[in-house]
Amino acid sequence: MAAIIPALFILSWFTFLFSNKLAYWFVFLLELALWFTTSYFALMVLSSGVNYQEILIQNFYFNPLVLKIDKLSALFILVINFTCFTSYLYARKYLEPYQTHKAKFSFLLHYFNFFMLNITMLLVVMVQEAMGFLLVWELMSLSAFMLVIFESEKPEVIKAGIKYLVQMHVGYFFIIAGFVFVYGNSGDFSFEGIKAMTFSSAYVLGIPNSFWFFLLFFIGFGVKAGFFPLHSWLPIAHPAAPSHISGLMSGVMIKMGIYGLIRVLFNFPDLNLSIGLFMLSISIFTGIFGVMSAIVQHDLKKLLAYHSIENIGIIGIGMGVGVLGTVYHQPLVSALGWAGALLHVVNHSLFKSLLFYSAGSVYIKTHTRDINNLGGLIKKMPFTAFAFLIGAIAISGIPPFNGFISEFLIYNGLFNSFKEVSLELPLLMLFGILGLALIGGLALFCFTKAFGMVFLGTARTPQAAHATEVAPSMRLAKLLPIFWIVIIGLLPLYFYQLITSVIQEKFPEIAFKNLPITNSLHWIGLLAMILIVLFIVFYAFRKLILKSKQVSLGATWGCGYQFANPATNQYTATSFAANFARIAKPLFIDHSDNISYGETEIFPIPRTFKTHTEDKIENTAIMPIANTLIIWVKKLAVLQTGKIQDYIMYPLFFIILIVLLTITNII
Amino acid sequence: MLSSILILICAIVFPGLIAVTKAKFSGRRGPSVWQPWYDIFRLLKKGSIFSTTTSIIFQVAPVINILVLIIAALFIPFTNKYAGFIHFEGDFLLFIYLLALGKFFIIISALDVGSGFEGMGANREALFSMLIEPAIFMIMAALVLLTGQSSLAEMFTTFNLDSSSSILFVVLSCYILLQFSLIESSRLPIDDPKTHLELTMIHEVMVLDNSGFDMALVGIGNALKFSIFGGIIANVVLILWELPLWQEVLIFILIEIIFAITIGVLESFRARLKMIYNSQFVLTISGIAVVMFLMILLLENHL
Amino acid sequence: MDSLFILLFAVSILYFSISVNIKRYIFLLGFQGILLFLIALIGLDELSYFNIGFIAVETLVFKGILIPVYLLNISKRNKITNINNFKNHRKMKGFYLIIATISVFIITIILGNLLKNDFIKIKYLSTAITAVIMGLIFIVINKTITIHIISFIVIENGVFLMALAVGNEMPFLINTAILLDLFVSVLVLGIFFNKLTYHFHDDSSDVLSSLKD
Repeated sequence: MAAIIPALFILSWFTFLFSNKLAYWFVFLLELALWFTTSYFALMVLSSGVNYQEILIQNFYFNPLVLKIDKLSALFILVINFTCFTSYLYARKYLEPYQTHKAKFSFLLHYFNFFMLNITMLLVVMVQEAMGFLLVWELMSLSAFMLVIFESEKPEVIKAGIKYLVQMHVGYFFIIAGFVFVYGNSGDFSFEGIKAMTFSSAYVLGIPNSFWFFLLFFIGFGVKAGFFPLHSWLPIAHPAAPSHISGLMSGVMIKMGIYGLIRVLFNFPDLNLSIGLFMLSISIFTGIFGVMSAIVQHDLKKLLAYHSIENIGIIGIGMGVGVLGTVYHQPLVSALGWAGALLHVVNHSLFKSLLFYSAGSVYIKTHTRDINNLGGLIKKMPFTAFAFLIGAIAISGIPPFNGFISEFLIYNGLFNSFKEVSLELPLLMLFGILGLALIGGLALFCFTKAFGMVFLGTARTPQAAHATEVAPSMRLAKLLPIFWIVIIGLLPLYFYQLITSVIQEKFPEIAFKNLPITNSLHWIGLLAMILIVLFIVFYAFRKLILKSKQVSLGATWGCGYQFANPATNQYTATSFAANFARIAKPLFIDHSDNISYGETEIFPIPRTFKTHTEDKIENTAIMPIANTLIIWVKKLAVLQTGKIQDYIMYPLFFIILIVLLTITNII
Repeated sequence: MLSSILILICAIVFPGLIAVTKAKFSGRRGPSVWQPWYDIFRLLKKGSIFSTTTSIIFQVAPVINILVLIIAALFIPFTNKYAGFIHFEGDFLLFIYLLALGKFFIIISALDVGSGFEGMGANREALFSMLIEPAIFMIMAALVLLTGQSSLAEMFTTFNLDSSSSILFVVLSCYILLQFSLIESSRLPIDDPKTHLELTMIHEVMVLDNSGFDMALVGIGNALKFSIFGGIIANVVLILWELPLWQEVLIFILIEIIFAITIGVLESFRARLKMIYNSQFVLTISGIAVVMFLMILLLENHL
Repeated sequence: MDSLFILLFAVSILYFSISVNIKRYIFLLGFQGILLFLIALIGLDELSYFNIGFIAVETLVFKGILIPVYLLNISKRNKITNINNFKNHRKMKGFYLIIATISVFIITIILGNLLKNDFIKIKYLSTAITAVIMGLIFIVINKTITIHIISFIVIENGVFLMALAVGNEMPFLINTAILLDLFVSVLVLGIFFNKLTYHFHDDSSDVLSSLKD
């Protein structure tokens, strides 16, 4: 592999020589080569249990750049490859309508950056040395930026891309700071160095030093993952990007942040209560905040982006449970927490990419992302509706699909902590259970709204009424995740064994095969299959009975009105979310136009009404900081005059200053 | 298996009993106990009208709902003598989420019809079921805390009575489960099942456009849901005594009948809350469950 | 067994948060009075007959029966039924008050645990502090005098529980102090309703700020 990856990297530069169609297939070939080699090595590591190591570049800065695949990397490699495959498959027909008004170069750039993103993501999980890691991390952020601004003729897309890039770089500095700290403390400039770190037992503000160190990495990786105060790029970048890129980013790229956090936490010398408490509380808050914001959105892709934040919260709850279990010496709780978190990483990549592809298909055919303008699409795009339904059921954590399995594992970790008598751990786990229960209920609310408003009922605008089904390749791209969603739901035991083999080395004393949870998962898979089979039987039985009865069609009961317009009679997305928005008023500002009628106005004239909700926390906590920063930066912009004489004057002053300081022996 | 059979038997008399109790308390002669089943048989013989706005979701949802309830009934154990037909560690989670699956499909089939009435019912149902979720989780968590087991069957087997927390748990969880079943089936004080004002309905309005065979399935599902919760309450109450089998079977059926009569009595003497106050009321029940869990946690730690 | 009654006390605080009707409040007050009597009877170890009699009179008779009847009479005479104005409906105070009650309860449990004092029974202490803090919050949020007096009595109930939390016996001093507070509050309420509403026809406490003499 040491030869293949640089070769593919160099070959990818040749993309720019091809025409549009040929470039797609050329990059596809390169990608196939990449996927086959990396997946081959990943599967080899997973099945044989031996880590794979290979030197890529000798004498890269001070250490050789080593490619190291252990079981965690292998799992992530498979997830990355699969999602990139479905995303690329989806991309061909999705980008076709843009060919008329975009230059050829933007397409070539897009395919090239897609390949770059794929290869850099794979390298991120394979490189453990900090220097190489930091290099490929930066390349990954850059290539994702280039992909996000595909529709660069719209100014809001560029704005979204810049916002994304700036936040990624802020996080990048924190990661660099973290690694420098590791190097200073243990002398090893890599993830392994964290194992050898020693912390002074000094307490700053009552919290041990190791927590502040962890906070550096948390902010760095958390910006990428999308944890609560660092999430603001997500709901802006994901709708701006083309749908296959949103699916890819949501499905895999934010998991790179999770990967970094898992590496840091796995290698941490001794976890303490503050880290676990912080992880759990911020994940619960992220999850609940994410899904609450999702409910009041009416842009379909923004809704899905906020849902990604919620699922990162669920993964964070699993990780928090894992850390707290280790702190309180309950290895079973910890193992189940980590297993649930890792399985949710896999599951989320599957159903979130599926949901984004469906949303993209809807956008391509109706040219609107606003839920309040859609409706009745199940009759026009049945396959997309079916895909969205499976994704919606899976993401709410409902059996028989895979979302339930990962939540089941995390719940089991939480409930297992009650079995030993103590006060502190059950009290903390109480918050976890309440958080997960609320998140599940809110996700159900949000996705019934999303699915119901977009696909069911009557079409609310003519655009929605004239939609058609999408091309077969896009349908195939949706079918592949559906296949895995159903398989993980029906045969959870295999995936459980896969995940536990990844974390086995951290918990050598637990024999994962003999836990009672294997029996539970066996039963769950069996029940899922029985549910599906019984459903088919019952449905056939019902159809048989209905054949003998008189079945007729009629209009929906509209309370007897003669000329009711079915499109305006039905509930809109805003009205569906209204009773929730009333409860959540402290968190959201509702901007709606005020309608008043004059006293002498007997027959009201037509009026327009607009309403939209904004996030209060973002407005009061984050925006003022950003705005003051912009004000101060604008003051500094005085130095940018645009004249070349001024730019020569600045170095001249600098040279004079250095000479003066050297003469007077200050430097 | 025994409890599932008992639940099915009790489901037959449940809706009729509630109706007869309400009638007697309002001074009317009342329908016969079997009247709901006469209605259901009549519906089974009828044809159906489907709205042109609906799609396959509308055809599928009642089937999924009743299937989920039948499978959920197999989870309930019979006190400490027999485990349920299905039992494994963490089975109560699958129980709760299976009910959520049924709810998901009922809500989207309500949205499928494309009428404002069903949308109203759907969003109220989604909100209230979301707010009451923590209550059942807290009851299960308290059971795990008290018994150290995470399977429904083993929880009821290893319950030991000498701790003072068991009486606390039995009394309060009966109350919470009573209110929980009232909220889940949208009875008073959340919603009046006898009202004909669509603007105030929750469950009734979601199935407004169902007809014939589907309506019969909905009616059977309602009876079954009540009976399942009555089975859980009976299990909780029977923790307090250790009796021979035939006595426990009798008490099980008796508790289900008392449950039905209690619901009838509560419905006769209560008025419906204003819709705005409903979410507060639902959250109170969840709050009581959380407080109960915390108190049991303190008791277990001898604090 | 006393934990059941303490739990019912906490549940009554929860129902306090969502009540709208005056009769509901009064019923809950009476319920709390009876609960306090049962808690004192079961929870205290050292009781002479005189103490039992005194506590019985104080809780059962005064808080359980006399004060609710008196408040009922006052509310009937002044025709107060709702404590909320109709424009408060949209605010959903009850929802946030329940979340506040539960959070205060959990925080007091965590803090009580950190104290690590063997003599304090945490279940009494956390319920008591919850009652006191929620009583104060009720006074801050609501405007009518009647609800202020009712919340004041809730705070007194909380103080009673706190006395139970730290001791085995109920000192005479605390009993008398609580009785004095009750007497003063009921007297104030009586004077207010008899004399002042005659002049102002309003039972909101804003009226008091315009009182000069």
